[in-house]
Amino acid sequence: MIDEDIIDFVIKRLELQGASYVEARLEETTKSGFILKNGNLDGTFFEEMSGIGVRYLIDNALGFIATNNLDKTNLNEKIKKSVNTVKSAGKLNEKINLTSEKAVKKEYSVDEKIKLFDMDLSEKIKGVNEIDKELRDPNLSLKERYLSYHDAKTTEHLITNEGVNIKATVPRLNLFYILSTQCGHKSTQRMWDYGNTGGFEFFEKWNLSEVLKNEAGKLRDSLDYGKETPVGCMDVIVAPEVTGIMVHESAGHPYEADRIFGREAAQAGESFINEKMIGQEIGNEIVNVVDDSTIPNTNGFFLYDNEGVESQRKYLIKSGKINEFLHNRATASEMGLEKSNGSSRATQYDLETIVRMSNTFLLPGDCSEEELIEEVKKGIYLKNFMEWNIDDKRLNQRYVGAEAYLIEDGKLTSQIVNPSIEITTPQLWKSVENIANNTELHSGTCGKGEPMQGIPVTFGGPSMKLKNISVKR
Amino acid sequence: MDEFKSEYLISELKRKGADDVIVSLDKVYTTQIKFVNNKICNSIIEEETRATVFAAIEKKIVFMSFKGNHDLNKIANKIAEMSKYIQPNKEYGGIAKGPFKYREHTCFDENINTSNFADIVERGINTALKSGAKRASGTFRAEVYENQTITSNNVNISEKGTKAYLSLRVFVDQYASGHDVSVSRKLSQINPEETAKNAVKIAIAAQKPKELNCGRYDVVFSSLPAADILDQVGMASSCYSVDAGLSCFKDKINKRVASEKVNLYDDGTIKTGIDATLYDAEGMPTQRTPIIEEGILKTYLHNTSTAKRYNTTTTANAGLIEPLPTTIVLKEGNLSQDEMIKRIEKGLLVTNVWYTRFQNYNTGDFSTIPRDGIFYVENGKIKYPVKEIRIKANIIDFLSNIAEVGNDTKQILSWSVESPVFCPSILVKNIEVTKPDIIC
Repeated sequence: MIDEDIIDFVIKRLELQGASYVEARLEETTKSGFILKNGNLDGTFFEEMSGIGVRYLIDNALGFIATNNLDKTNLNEKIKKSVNTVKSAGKLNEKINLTSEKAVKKEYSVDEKIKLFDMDLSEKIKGVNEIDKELRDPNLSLKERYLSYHDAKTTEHLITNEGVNIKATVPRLNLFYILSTQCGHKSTQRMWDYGNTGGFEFFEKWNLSEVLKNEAGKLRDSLDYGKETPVGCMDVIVAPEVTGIMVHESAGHPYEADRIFGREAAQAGESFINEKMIGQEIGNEIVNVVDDSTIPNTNGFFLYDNEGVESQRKYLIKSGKINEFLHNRATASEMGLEKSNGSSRATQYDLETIVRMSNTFLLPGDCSEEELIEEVKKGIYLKNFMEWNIDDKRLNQRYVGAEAYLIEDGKLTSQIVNPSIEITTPQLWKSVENIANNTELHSGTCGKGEPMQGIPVTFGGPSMKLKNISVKR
Repeated sequence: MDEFKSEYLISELKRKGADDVIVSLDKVYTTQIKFVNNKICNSIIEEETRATVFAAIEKKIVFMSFKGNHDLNKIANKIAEMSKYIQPNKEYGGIAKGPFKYREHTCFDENINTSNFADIVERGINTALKSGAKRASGTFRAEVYENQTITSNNVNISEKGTKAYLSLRVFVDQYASGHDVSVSRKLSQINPEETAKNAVKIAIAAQKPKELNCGRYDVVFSSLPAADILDQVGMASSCYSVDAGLSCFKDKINKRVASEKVNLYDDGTIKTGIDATLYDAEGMPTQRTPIIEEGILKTYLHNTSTAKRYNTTTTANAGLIEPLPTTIVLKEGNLSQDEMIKRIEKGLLVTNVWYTRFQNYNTGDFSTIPRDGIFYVENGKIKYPVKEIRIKANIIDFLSNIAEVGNDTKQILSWSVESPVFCPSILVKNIEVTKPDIIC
């Protein structure tokens, strides 16, 4: 591990320059991975990364320094340059205040039953090869197969001049895939991601040989037998994966307080929600959406955020009403709150920590998915999706189904091709008539900030029934 | 970087059985100022020194990336050890064989080390406010970089350069916004006043937007949104995308994929291009490569290995695994944006898009969301701003429906356009516009 003496040095030098707050993140990360494209191993990679990211306040103005050259002379030079840059802005600097938080001292790590970096790379490749072998079945009509495996183990040491001292070691792995099916002149495509914090044991749990073979079969069936999507107003059942992306885009992002304050205006956009809307109805009263970073082994797991604030469950929507936003210490202070709710994260040491989601999901109802479907006389069921997007205020969104079915008299009947939903956020959450109990969390990478930071998250929930909404082709 | 013994590492790896080795050393120093609501909210200094090693040992491909002060014998041993446990890349066809002659190319601006960047931001904000904006937000970034690339095939080349980038989005009320960027190798060519005025002009015109009916419209895309789409076209032209199922250009070489007005290049040689380089990741001198000429797809982008497999020559776009565009260039036409608008009977002017996502990369089906000022055009005149629409399209249809290419070329780099694109405004016919239905 990097010498902690370096952190003391940086903190003291910045304090000497007049910094009232200094927060240093030392990071060491080991990464490995490979790509299997159409059964060919394109390449393997191994990366070691270490460095320090230092955030500080001078006269309530924020500066950030990141370097992987930890020589003290260099650090001293960068500190001087950085402080000069901050000071040269003078009155143009935003005055930033931070909430007062408990100074936590803690060390924790995520267990690995099968340690990622004690394994031979060949074992990981073998695992992905086995998935690919299943997908080579000509009956699946897969034209292209792209499987990308990555793992990493990061030790992050956060120390502040307020007494925070937290060391966290988190291993993680993920597999991203793209399947492209071609039947005659028709084609379809599906991409998705599996990811967890923990060891290689999760690779086995994903059971991807079976999952992907099943998905590929459904893609082929949609081309062979898929019927034209009916258009018009009807009930729609969305499965957990689709619930998840809806939650992430229209109930997660608009609740990020930095976005509400305009901090992403020129990047990921702002929000149609503002701080005066707390308590306002945004959906049916059965809608409850949380962001919860405490769930062990999830892609969005952490116990303390990058400002040293304890991880917690945040109720973004409670009983259909806007309840709480995602905060770091600066946005919480700006909104007049006493405490941050621990949502400050950076992808790696050289990027600033900003407000992020973790594991964001709709809380379950009581019934089964089958019961939801039984309630529908005529409608559609979206198992998963491919294309989606939402405007930069998080109001106008579109989701296009990949595997989707007609519902007729309470039963799934024919597969249908590319049904789409185009809906506003209030319309979406007000249309939720019933929620099942089959919660799933799906992993993904969320983009925000500049330079762009892709941060591991999950999104999910159970299946939900959307009453009488517009379906398009 | 001088102390890193690349040649020793190459010889050690060759001794351990490597057929091809590339060692690339990068040193990057970046200053970034982020500003929000007329104030600077963070000033960032970042530096990184990094070594990346590529080794092919009996077609087994290993990359290692690390900070430049490692024990090179350990690195060589680790790479050789990793290669024992992996299968060969059956598609691998080697790296470029030097030595090469490189052109003269200077893109280093000494001023970037001494300038007061806060002043640039302040000029942008002040101009925006004076021009009528209520809020200005964005990013200014300046970068100094050095690279040295040494290969086992007689390449030993280095370059250094500077980059500067200003992104500025303004609001004149809660939602009426405009966005512009300024991108250059030289600080003196970043023009915060002009960038701010351009953004404010759009934002002022975008106030009090009306609803627009769904349907098909002829659309003028200004440089910013055109670049967003062409960035996707650039990625689709990589041979790797074609092989991976991420391109609508498969089996379309020498076939029509665009209107005859479309001449699209990848050009790593443009002096002002922010990502222009002397050489690609194999050390091959970069070039200007026609991708689409008069609407006909001429080539995919290749590295040495993919070119061999496709029985052609490299286009100097390595990426060692994945050939990548360096700088996409749409050859400009004769019309101004105003003249293109005059040719629209019923249509739109779109000044920015975001969140472009594909339903199927193989077919090219996608949708994207206009943001900032969107304007309804009738009988050649801008009538009023509109709001909350989506564009649903297909890449090949989009390219095929380009009726006019403008003469207002601009270099675009933005939050969503990560690889630079030089392009003017374009007029695209028959674009489908959708939006959420009011209520069922």
